[in-house]
This record gives sequence, structure tokens and C-alpha cells, in this order.
Amino acid sequence: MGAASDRGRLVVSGLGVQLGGFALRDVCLACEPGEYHVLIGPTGCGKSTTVKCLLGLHKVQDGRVLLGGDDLTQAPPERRRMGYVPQSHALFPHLNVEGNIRFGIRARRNDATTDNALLERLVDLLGIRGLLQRRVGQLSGGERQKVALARALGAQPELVLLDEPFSALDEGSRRRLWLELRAVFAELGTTVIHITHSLEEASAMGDRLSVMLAGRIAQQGPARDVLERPASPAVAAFLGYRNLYRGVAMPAATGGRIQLEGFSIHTRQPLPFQGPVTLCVRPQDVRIIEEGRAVQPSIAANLLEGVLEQVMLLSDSCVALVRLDGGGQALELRFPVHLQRRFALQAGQRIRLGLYEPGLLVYPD
Amino acid sequence: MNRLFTGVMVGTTALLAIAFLALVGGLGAELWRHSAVQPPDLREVLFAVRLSLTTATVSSVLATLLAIPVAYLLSRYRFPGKALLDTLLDLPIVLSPIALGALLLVFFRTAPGRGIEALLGPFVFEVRGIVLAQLAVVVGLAIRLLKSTFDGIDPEYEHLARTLGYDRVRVFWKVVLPMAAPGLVATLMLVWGRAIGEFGATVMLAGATTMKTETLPVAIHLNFEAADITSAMMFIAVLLAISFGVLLAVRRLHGRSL
Repeated sequence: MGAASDRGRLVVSGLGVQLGGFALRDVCLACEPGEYHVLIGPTGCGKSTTVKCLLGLHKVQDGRVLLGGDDLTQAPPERRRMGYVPQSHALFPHLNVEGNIRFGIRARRNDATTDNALLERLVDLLGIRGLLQRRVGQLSGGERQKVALARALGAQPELVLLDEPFSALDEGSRRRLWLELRAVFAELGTTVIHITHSLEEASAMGDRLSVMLAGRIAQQGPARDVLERPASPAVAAFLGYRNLYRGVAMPAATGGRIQLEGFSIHTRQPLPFQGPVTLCVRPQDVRIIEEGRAVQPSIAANLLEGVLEQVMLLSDSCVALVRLDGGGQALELRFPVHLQRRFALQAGQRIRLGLYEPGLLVYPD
Repeated sequence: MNRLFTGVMVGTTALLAIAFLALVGGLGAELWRHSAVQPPDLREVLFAVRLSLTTATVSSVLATLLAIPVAYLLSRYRFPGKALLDTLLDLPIVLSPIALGALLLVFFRTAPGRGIEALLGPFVFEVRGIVLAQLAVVVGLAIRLLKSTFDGIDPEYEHLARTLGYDRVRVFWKVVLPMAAPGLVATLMLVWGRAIGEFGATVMLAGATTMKTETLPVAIHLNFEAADITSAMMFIAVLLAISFGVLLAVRRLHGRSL
């Protein structure tokens, strides 16, 4: 057994598995004890396969899995000390809610007093005392989620793997559960790996994120860093950044310049590379420029004009699409709802924009 | 068009139900006409009922017990030659029971067959032979029914139980068997119903000796051969009642129509 301070620390290195036509390659993950880690990626990228490999349900061909300092690469699932909440919840239909939770608790073969104390703690923590005698078929999606989690926690795992836990829930229940589950895991101090394809969920829940694309971990880091500074055009595209332009980076009299189709971008600092690049302009870094008002130096070098094609009002922000003058490239911008009213923005009107230079992301090809 | 569709469904069902009821009615009328003239030998009836119930129970329990690991293997694992094995195990379902009985009879004339008889006692023309013949006929059906039951249980339940700390044996006992319980009971009863009506393989291996290897179907055969219609009808009525009772019980246990 590893040291007590290592309890819940997961280190996955070079994990590889070939399953028919699909392969996981060189998957590396690192979770600190108590960390809430979100593994995010598009459908079919290998997230669930990774979970099955971690749980020991798929035999891995390469790599190592260490939990709490112990090498579990070849250990059977029952010896891995990893809890699992599958997408379907898989509550045992022949047992009621209490039976399902006790099923997890009994695996530890404790005495009855310890079992009862753990059951009491879990039902109180998850607020499911009123459900104990119910059949699992009588539960709502959120209740099923909590019971499945209580069952997994009953086995007192060092790590819990949640596979798309909120996919079957309505929006209201989902958001309520985000808060409740974060509170539960914070109290228990259990390490969590949460699988999802929802950016919003990943952003709300994760301390750290790993982005998986086509069977590989494309980026890993603190949630804010990953969401705001995608490491590659592929990650940026997955994270929903649509302002991706191919161009050529070159030095300029002051700083650098990227020549794109129809417009160019200037940077005050010299670019660290020259030649073909991909530029990512995050929609939140596109500013609407009001006539007659002073422009900040960080924006002044990159002013563009175009025609507003679409304005979409979302629940907490506005998204607009502008067709730029010159090459006719499309540029997406996101701004607070009140600006839509202030500028009376509507499709067809001309608009002046500025790009916030520190936010620009440039990737060499 | 909708009414025609409903008409075809209801009409066909009614026609078949009437046809079966007519058969039962015919049996009742025949019994009523002859029983006063020529009462059946109750001792023989009781012997046949007891022998049929005993052999069918033993063979169906054995068949179900044998079928559990085989069906689970076929349901959960992929291995080379699986299709071949699956087909081989299906043979008793499609093979004529007489042919199966003949194969068993021939087997006991070979050295391994004689060895088995030396070890476990005689099978040919013995009650043991009835059990073996019934077992051979129904085991394929038991495997097929149980495989279907196991196929209906999502392996995710087993995966999940293993992550909770249960090894494969405990998962099988604590998750798979309880979840398969309705299917197991239904299999046992259907197999039992099939075993109690078994005739062809039984006659070939155990023979048709009155008051020795005389199961209900054998008794029907022997009485018809002896032109004792009343007794034959009585045996048919008993077999019919038992079969109907079993099927009804299976439906009630399963909670839905099979």
C-alpha cells in the first residue's frame, strides 16, 4: 500500500489500448488527492474507454495506472478502490434503494454497526433518507443519480469515476446537482474523474480539465487555463472557438504581423515564430468600438469593420456574427446582453470592431 | 383497413383457441362415453403419474443446473469456435427425439457407454434411461432459454458490482442469479413441461414396459397399442391437466405472457 498522504492520487502514464478499429494512445492523466478532474471530449473520442481501462474492465496493452502509490495496471476491478457511476446508473432492479446502497457498503465486509453508520452518513449527505424503501423504478433521474453515487461511495473508494452523470437530466436538475455534488465531494475529499462532453458542465465542476480528442489527451491543466488558452487549433475548435484563421506570421517594423485572407493582425511584441500559422480569436476578445470614443492601446492596432449578419440573445450573453470587409471572413463575437440594447445591434448594420491583442492565440502549423 | 387488421388478429386467435378447445372437448366426450363401461386401472395411472413427475423433475433440474454455466459462457464471452459450439448445443432442439434416443442407445453399446453403465449403473431399459433421455432432449432448450435470460441482463450491472469490490463469483451469486431468477424459474418450468411430455427418446433408450418405464406418454402409447381407448384418454387428460397447470404457473411467475 502507498503512503496515507497519497490516498486518492491518480497517475496514469502512457495508457494504450486497441479495441477493434479504435485506439487509445499514450493517455496520461494526473490527479491530486481530492481533485475534481473533468475529462472532456466529443462523443466517440475515447472518454468512456479510458474510464473502463482505469476501472480494469478493459485490459490495457501499454502504460501504467497508479492510485495512492499502488500500481493497479493489472489489478482486477474489485481491487482497484475506484467507485463508478455509469451513465445508465445501473441501479440493481431486484433491490430497493437501501439494498442498492448497502450493496456497496457490504463489499467492505465491516461489522453491522459500521455499515449502519456509513449508510446514515451517506443518506444524510446526499439528502435521500426519504427514498430508502423505494423501488429503483420509482425514482426520478436526479434521485437515481444520488442513489448510484451513494452506492459507489458506500464502498469507500479513493477515487470516483462519473461517466456522463447528468446526461439524462433536465437543465434545472442538472444545475442543482452540480452544486450538490461539488459540496458532497468537497466534504468527503474524494478524488473525482468526471466524464462529460458539456463545456458548461466542465467549466462549472472541474478544478482541472483534460481534453481528449481522437483517443489522446490533447491538453490538461487548470480548468480556467484550458478553457481560455486552448493549446492547439483542434482543442480550440472543440471548445467552441470558431474564429480560427489560417495565415502567415512575419516580422514587422514594430512587433509582428500575421497576414490572413482579407485582413492582417499586428502584435506589439515580435512573434516567436514565422511562417504558416493558425490564429484563434476568442469571441470574448472581440470588442465593439463606439464612434468618437478613445480606443485602448491593446485594441488600437487591430481595428476591423464589417456587416452584422446575426445577433443571438442567449440566457446570459449575446453572440453575433460579423462578415468582415475585404476577404469576407466571418467573425464571431460574444458580449454582455446590455450592450445589445446600448448599441441597438441588429442584422444588416455596419459595425466597427477591435481585437484585444493579449487574448489572441497563435499556433504554428 | 384497420378493422380488417384487427379482424384477422382476433379471428385467427379465436379459430386456434376453438380448435384446441374442440380437441379437449372431444377428449371429455370420449371419456364420458367409455369410462362407465371400462374403468381404467388406477394403479397404473398413479404409477405413470408418479414416474413422470419424478423423472421430469430430476431431468429438468439437472438440465437447468447444467445449462446455467453453459448459457452464461455463451452469453458473456467471445471465443474461437463459439458459433460451432452454439450450433452443436442447439442440435437436441431440432433433432427428432427418436433419433436422439437411438444415438443414446448406440452410445451405450460402445466402450465409453459400457464404462459409464459400469460406473453409474444400467441406463438401457431402466428408469435412469428415462431421466437421461429427457435430459438429452431438454438440455438444449434450457441452454437457449437461459442464454436469452442472461443476454437480457446488461453486463454493466456486473461491471459495476466488481468496481464495488465483488469478485466474479460473488457478482454471479449476488447480481446475475437474482436478476435472472424469473427467467430461471420460467426455464425450469418450461423444461419440466417439455420433459414430462417426452416420448421418442424415452422409448428408444428406456423401452416401453408397463409398470416399469411407463411414463404418461409411454402409457398413452401402450394403451392405444392395446386398443384400450378409455385408459389412453385418461392418461391424455392427466398429461393435459399437468401441462396446462405448468404453463399457467409460468405465466403467473413471469408476470407476462411468454
